[in-house]
Amino acid sequence: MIRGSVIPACAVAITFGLAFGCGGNIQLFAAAPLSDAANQPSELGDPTSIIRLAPDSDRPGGRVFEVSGVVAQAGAPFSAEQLKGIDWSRIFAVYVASSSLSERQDLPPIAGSYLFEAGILKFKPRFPVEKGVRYRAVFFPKRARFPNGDGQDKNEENPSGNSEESITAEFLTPLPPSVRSAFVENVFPTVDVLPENQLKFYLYFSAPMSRGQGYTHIHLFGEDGKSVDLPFLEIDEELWDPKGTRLTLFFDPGRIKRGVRPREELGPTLRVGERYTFVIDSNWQDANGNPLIREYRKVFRVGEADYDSPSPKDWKLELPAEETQEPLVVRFNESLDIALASRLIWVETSDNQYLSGSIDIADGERQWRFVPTRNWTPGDYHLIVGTVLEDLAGNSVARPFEVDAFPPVQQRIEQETVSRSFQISGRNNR
Amino acid sequence: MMHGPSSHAVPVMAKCINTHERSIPMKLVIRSAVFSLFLLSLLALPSQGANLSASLKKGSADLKSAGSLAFGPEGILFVADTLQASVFAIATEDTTPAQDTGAFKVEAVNEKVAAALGTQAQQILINDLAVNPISRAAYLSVSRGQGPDAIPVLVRVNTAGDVKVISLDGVRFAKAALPNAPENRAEGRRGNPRMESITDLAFEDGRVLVAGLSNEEFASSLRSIPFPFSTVDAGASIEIFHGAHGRLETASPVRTFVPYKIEGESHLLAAYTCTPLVSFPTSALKPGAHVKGKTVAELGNRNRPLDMIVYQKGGKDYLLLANNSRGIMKITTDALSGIEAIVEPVRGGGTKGISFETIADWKGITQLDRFDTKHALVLRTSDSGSMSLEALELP
Repeated sequence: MIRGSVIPACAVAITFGLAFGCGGNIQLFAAAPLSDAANQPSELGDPTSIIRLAPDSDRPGGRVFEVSGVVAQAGAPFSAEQLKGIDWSRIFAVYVASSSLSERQDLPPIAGSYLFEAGILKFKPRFPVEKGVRYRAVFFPKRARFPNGDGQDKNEENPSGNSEESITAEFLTPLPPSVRSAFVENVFPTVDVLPENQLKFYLYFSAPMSRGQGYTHIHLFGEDGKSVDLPFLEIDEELWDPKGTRLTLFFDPGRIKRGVRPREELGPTLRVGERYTFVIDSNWQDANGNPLIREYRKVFRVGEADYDSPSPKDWKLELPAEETQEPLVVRFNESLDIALASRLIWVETSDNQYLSGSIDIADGERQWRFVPTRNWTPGDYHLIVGTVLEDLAGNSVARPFEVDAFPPVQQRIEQETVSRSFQISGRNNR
Repeated sequence: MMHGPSSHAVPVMAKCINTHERSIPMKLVIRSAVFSLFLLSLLALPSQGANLSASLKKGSADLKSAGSLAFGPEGILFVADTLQASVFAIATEDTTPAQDTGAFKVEAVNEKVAAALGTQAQQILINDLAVNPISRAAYLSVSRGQGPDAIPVLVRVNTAGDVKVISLDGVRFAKAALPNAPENRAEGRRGNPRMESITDLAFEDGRVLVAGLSNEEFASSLRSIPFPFSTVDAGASIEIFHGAHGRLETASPVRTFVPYKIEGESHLLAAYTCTPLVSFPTSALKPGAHVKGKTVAELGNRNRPLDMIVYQKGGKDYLLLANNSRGIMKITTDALSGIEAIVEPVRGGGTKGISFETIADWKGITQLDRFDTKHALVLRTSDSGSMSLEALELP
């Protein structure tokens, strides 16, 4: 039961009553745009002249359902307190008329609040009125009569046992034609050969996407064209970025980690030497419900597993010349995770000030390029690397993906960052 | 759920002592000191029942998303907001005890919720289910819409199938912001895309436990946030290693977990995304700790965990675990205390550790919570996509 709220300032009601008579059940299906329905000429007996969908003066773009023709009659005005006591939803309620799953009769009315002013009863839906959804507004005239003026309904709702008089109008704003505009911009890593223990893909879309359906539109096929069974970690939360344009897709960790049951029983998802095709089908809907422009395909081969941490001390630095904006180029000795490489590598000056500039990841995620906002000045600099930075197999600078618990102890770094120092001077020649 | 002694009683008694302090003999002073220590020990208890609701302030709970749910005492609902990296505590004021019927069946709950929200079932996502242990009403966290601008909604569904949208305006609430990721200083056109999805929540002994999964680095965090929420300290991030058999350890994201007592000591049973079920003492959750869990069972392929509850039947404790192959596993826990950790690889489809069975007739379960001592409330999805809320007798 949704109880309406009444704005006390509108102490204008005297007595509910109808200036016209009409009855029966559903009167009209107004399969017209909302604006048309709202602009119907006012004629007695026409439900759309009694029930309208009108602009909401309080919310730009919002809509309210109104019952008009409810005129003041003789009697003392209701007090705000009396108006508060009225269960408005028994008098006027709005329903979603159908669901695509079934035509259910037991759906609750939509949530919202009520306002009664100047003889017009308004229902303000709590959530926006949607295109493509049919709304049924039902008004019970007899329940709107309060002859004693005490705010209580003194009428028997259904004294005859016949169906009670109601006025019903339905409203629908058609969906705009489907326009395909979104597409997959890229899938990372872009390198052609992935380690057997590849940990994740990043899927970049050109526009925000719908949640809750991703895994049904993602497919991995082996060389034989057969679909690989459950290759990815499927979690309800779906690991999107805040803008809904990047999805992080983990390979099933149970098939990557050595010694756990899924891998022991079925082996790794990706097998060394084989070729796979990753497909995103075009039925995936963007946030507006429109499918993608086209499907996306990515073919890759699988190489040996990688169990070693990235090693910043082995990276090659190509230094820019002073007083230029030439890029500082860092060449990794393997492909790294693009998201983490974009976030966790930066340059500081000798006094530990962050150097602003733009970062670009290139060459199959094996190269990091930094262009400073201002010219390089001669001096000492530090290349700072967050130890959370991972390679394609989830080995981070701090520790490998899987740590040998017994000697020989593998490298484990406790600090949050490591750094490489370099010097910009007039002698640097690229 | 633990209720500590009422903190309301503490200052009253303290005042009594103070009124006599000028004239009391030494013996009484010592007694008073001992008593004060006793009082201090009460204050130090993490759970201060009567003060929990009072710690919440009235206002607009500005949720940006609504995911995992968990009830604490006094009808307080904890809501995970992944988009804001926050946990909200909301006073539902739903504290009228339920009559003990055990019955609950609401068909087409997704259609009914969608209808109340003025839209259609395919336009909403039901993210989690929690049962108010006092009123036994079902609370659902819902996204209205499917894009990044989806509106977060909390709804209450009672045994009669009535759907009520919980107002987030004028409610008493508190918000705890989780520590954020390092700033992405070289911001590109996409801003900072890192998020940490909150995959599960629980309330135990005056703490909210929060499991997180990053959309970038592969690491598990399990935070323990004292409640009532303090202003700055939003808990510590803790990496969990589970002994992955033989020589290898791996940091691994926790998918779902449940607090559980083993021989009187608080433990968490955590199900990992790679399917081991791991136990570790809650006391080990200290800031910056690398907690080593004990692998007590392997759930195996196709048994990726979704949700779990603990219950008692016939004097024994059981664990019920829903997984994404939509089966339900009933796991015997009475052997947990004595069981040896699995330290060898599990080969050839064999099972090791504690025993479990699959409950064949519980199909299509995606969410579950305890309903009462004999029933679980489940969200069940049919092949047609229609969802129902049902109380099922615990197996």
